[in-house]
Formats: sequence, structure tokens, C-alpha cells
Amino acid sequence: MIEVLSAGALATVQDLGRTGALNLGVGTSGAMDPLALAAGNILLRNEENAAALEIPLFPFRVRFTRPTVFAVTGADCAPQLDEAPVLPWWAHRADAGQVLALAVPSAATWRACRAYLCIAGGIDVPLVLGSRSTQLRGAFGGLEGRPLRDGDGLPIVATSDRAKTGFGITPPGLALPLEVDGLPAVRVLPAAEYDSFTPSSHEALWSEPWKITSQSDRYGYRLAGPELRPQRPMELRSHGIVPGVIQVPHGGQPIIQMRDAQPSGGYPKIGTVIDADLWRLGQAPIGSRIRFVLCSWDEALDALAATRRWLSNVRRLVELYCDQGAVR
Amino acid sequence: MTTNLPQLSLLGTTALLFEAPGETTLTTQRRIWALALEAGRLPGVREAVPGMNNLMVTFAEPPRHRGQLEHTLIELWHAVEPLPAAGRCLDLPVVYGGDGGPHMADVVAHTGLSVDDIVTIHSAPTYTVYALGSHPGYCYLGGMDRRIATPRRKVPVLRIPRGAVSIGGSQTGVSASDGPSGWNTIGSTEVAFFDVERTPPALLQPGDCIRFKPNRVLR
Amino acid sequence: MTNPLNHVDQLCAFLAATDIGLLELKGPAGVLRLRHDGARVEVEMIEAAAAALISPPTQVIRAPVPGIYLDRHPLRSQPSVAVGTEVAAGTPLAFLQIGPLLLPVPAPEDGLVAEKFAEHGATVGYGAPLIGLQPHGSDAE
Repeated sequence: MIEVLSAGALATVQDLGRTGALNLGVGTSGAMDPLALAAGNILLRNEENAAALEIPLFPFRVRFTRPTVFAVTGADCAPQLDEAPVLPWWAHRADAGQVLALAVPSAATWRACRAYLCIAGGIDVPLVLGSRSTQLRGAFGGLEGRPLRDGDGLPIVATSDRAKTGFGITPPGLALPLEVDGLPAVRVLPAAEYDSFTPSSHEALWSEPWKITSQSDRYGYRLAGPELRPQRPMELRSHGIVPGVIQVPHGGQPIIQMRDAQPSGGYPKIGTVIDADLWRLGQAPIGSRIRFVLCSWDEALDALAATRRWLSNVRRLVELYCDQGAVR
Repeated sequence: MTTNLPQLSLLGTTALLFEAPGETTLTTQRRIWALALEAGRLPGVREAVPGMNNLMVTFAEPPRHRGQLEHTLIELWHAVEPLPAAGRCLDLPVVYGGDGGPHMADVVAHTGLSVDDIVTIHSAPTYTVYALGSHPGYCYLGGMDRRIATPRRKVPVLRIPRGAVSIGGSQTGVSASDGPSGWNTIGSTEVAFFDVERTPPALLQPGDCIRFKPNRVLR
Repeated sequence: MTNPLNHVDQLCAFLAATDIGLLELKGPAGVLRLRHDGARVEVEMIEAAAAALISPPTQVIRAPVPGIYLDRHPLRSQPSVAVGTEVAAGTPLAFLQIGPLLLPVPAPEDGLVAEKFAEHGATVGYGAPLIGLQPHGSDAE
């Protein structure tokens, strides 16, 4: 069991998301940085989709009531176990009663904003519509469909103690860098209304930095930058959308739909951030700036293959190390 | 729409969006339902999700060559017969106006109609459920009388409650859970549109219909 | 007290039968140092005055696997330890990166970081010298 001592705000139980329920009006939810969650699980020899805690705001403190093997991935939030520093992206064993504290992330070599507390076995909350992710709007999934509160107790799936401690992984933020003019970048495929925007709007989309304003959260990121203008006003019918869709409402400031966005919308869409780069967005802090990069279908699929390859390489090496105690 | 052809576009590498040509009609929607049924069975498709005269097709795995899938969707579109709108019909008791209908006055101001006229016009039709979306259990309805159409609010309300009956542009709908909305709320209902403990969890599905029954009108 | 010099043969035999590399005995006469390199035991007697000036030998920590040597965790901007730092046994002094995997280079015992042999970012082979550690308390009696 994990006892929440200091929940911060907006910490939720997430896995890799809830698929197959769009026909019920239920969006995917899931980790904003699915790569950090999956990698943390692989490090602990869980299945990739085991449930973990997503922590966007700090400080955050929990107590382990039993000996627990854990890892903190995502942003480097100077984790401390009973006030002694422990490494990020590293498998540790906590004794019963030990307290894990996470602080505001530092950006020494990689600027990131969300941390993931992964546990050997995974967080044991019920599967709802096939997933343990928190569905905030519908108030189900995760822990009672809501963010964590001080005093919450989170059960852990019993595990056969396969996880090994004392080693770690180099974060993908460093291993899979993507930058344009010194800013983190994400690749975008044009969407249905792309051609309906003015040429100067296209120019602005690809050439200008976009700031993630403070009105940004799991539902969507509101960006600040040049005004994007359609050639003529557009009234669209409600249609399905997915995380990554860049909508442009009246006012011309784009909103990137994120994991908890409505699964349908009616605003013009200028593009969609590719699935393979959503984790980069998930780690872009409020106040930071990003760049958009136009890519092709093939490049987008190549990017997806690259992240899959990275994960399977992590799995291969972790299993080799844990089984043999050595890597040759 | 200035074209007679369906439009296919990408939603990243996650889905294809199929927009039917022409005006938004129930007949077109019935063809969309038929297309969704067929598309949902195609290899490589995870889910086929109707919208308002359109269909989002999510990939199980994005195919390197999409042409095949796109071609098949167009072929199916031309081949399918519209499904009947023969689902069940639900009578929804509504308390119009009062605290549950905080924007009734705005609809009155925009339309020039009285509260009683608005209630009569709103509750007259049988509304077909075109699609589910927006939030768990939410139904996109077709069939509202244009006389009571009222533009979406300039400033969305941060939280309207579950059961809010609202008008947004030329559409009407009922919120299935608390949440933000830019629509004009004219009444409230007690019916639960989504219960995750229930099988199926959503109360209604495309092809079902709703009739609003004025229970009380508060002024 | 018996003079350890009287027991050198016994000590040599003892040492040769173990995989202990170094045995130091401090007494009033000085320091008796027995070094076992696997094949033979070498005996050195250091006079008391001279013994006071000799610091304990540096233990060379070597790469247990080939990989990229990192003097800090990749998310950190400062080296994990500086020369002259006191470290406790088990402290990760540096890291070895093998693909996405990160292994620690831990201090085998309490001691002082005496020397750094490898460059941050260098590819190192199995057995490559990485860090020199001056252990505390090398007496065995």
C-alpha cells in the first residue's frame, strides 16, 4: 500500500489509456508522457501498461507501508527516500515506513514537468472499461475517478519479487532529442482545414515559437503566438478528434487537445501532433515554448517505430541484466 | 460543403476522418451508421466512431500504405444502405427555466419568443440520436427547430451540471456529467445518460431517440 | 606483545590461501605489508618513521562491463563526486551506460575519492580503470 501524505494537486492514477470506448463518448485519458510510464514499468519488469501515479505538481510525498520496489521516471524531481537523495529513472527498494518525497523538477539537462511513480506490480485499482486510467469528466477509473488527496491509500498488485534494484535507464528526453533553434519540437501532420488557413498562418505555424500558457492542462494546451487566420470563417459539424489535434477557435490562438480532451469537437483543425511525439508535449512545462515541424506520413510512422524500438531495446537490456546479473 | 464527394483527412497517425458531402441530414447520418458498422469490421481498424454526418476511423496500427483503407471506405460509402432509425425512444421529463435553466432569458432575448413558446417548440419534435461524443454518454441530437437556435455563449460557463438541457447554435443536447459548456442551458433533467456500472454503460446509442416532456416550467 | 615479524611465514601462507590482495599490520616497529598478487606473496617492512608518511594504497575501481563512462547521472549537470570527496560504501561514484541501460559504479567500501582515470563520455572496455579510491581502515588483524 502507498499512503499519500501530500498529494499536490491533479495527481492521478494512469496507465497507457482507455481505448475502444470512443463510441460511448469516452476519451482515452492515460499518461501525458506514456514513454516515461512504459519505461518505468519495463525497468521494474512490469507489463508496459501497469498503472502508475502521474504527478504534475510538487511537492509530493507518499509513505510505503510495506517493502516496495519503485522507480521515479519523467521529470527529475530530486527524489528523496527518508530525506536521502535517490536517483531518478532508477529501481529502488523502500523499506516499510519509508517516505518518498518529490520536489519541483530541476531542468539541469532536460526540461520536463511531469513525474511518474512506478511500482513493481503496478497500482491495484479496478479495470474500468479495460483501463486503470482516471476518467476525470466521467468520474470513473483510476482512484474513484478523481485526483489523489492527502490520506488516500493506494493498493499495489502483489508481485513475485522479480524486480531488481540498483540500476536504471537513460531518459528518452536525452536519448531521443528533437529540437529546432534550441527549442523542443514536435512533428505535425496537416489536418482537414490546413489548406483553409492563410499562407502567413502556415508560415507562423512552422516558423514561430509557441508558448504554452498557464491555461494548459490534461484537457488541452492553450498556446500563445501569432494569430492563425482562416481564409474565410468556418462553421464545422461536430466530429471525432484525438489527442494531438491542434484546434484554432475564433481569436486565432491554437489549442492542442491533450489526453483528457473531449473525443469530439467542432473547431477548425490546422494539424495534429503525431502520436510518437505526444510524450514530448506532455513534458513541456507551462511557460515554455515549442516549435512545430511539418512531417510526412512516412516520417510520422518512422517516428512511431523509433519510440517502439527504444522501448523494446530497454526491455531487452533490462531483462538481460535482471536474468543474468550482467550485460555482455 | 462545396463538393459532392466525401472528404478524407488525417487525424495524425491515430485516425482517418471521413466527412460526408452535402447538407447535414438524417438520411446521410443513417448511411454513416451503416458505414461505421462495416468499417468497424475492417482489419486494421480499431473503432469507427460516427460524428454529425462524418465518421472517425481509428487505427489499430497505422498502415504504411493508407490508400487501400481509404479506397475501401469510399467504396463502402457508395455501397451501404442507410440503417433504419429504429432504436428505442426515451421520454425525458424536463424542468424548464428556474435555477436549472439559467440562460432561458438569453434564448428569449435572442429569439424574441416567450418562455412558453420556446418550451413548446423545444419539446415538440422527436429527436434522433445521431452520435455519441463530447463526454461519456453524451448524445448529439438532430431535429431541433431553427426558430429557437441561439448562438453559443461568448464566455463558456465553467461548470454546468449533469442533466443540463441546452441549446448551442442550431443543436440541442443534455449534459451527461458536470463540466464546462458554451451552450445556453434552458432546463434540467434527472435521467442518467451514463453509468459505468451498467451494461452497456451509455443509456442511448445512435438510432435511438428522445422526446422532451415539459414537467414544469419555472419563470 | 609479539613482534609480527616472528609470524611472517605463517601470515604469508595464510594470505596465499585466500584472495586477499593486501595485508597490513601496524606495530610499534613500523608497518608490515604483505602483498599477494595471486602467485606469490611479497613482504615489505616499512620502518615506523617512514610508515607514517605513506598513505594507504589507492584501490582502482574498474569497469565491470564495457560501456560509456559517465561521471554523473545523465540528468545531472555536476559530476557525482569530486576528487577528495569522502564516500560511503555503495555510493554510486559514476555510471556505465550500455545502450539505454545505466549501471552504477559504486564505492566498494568507505573511502576517499583519490583519482579519476576515465573521461566523462568515454567508451571504456571491461576492466578499464575508472576511479581510484583510498579506502579507510585497511587493517586486518
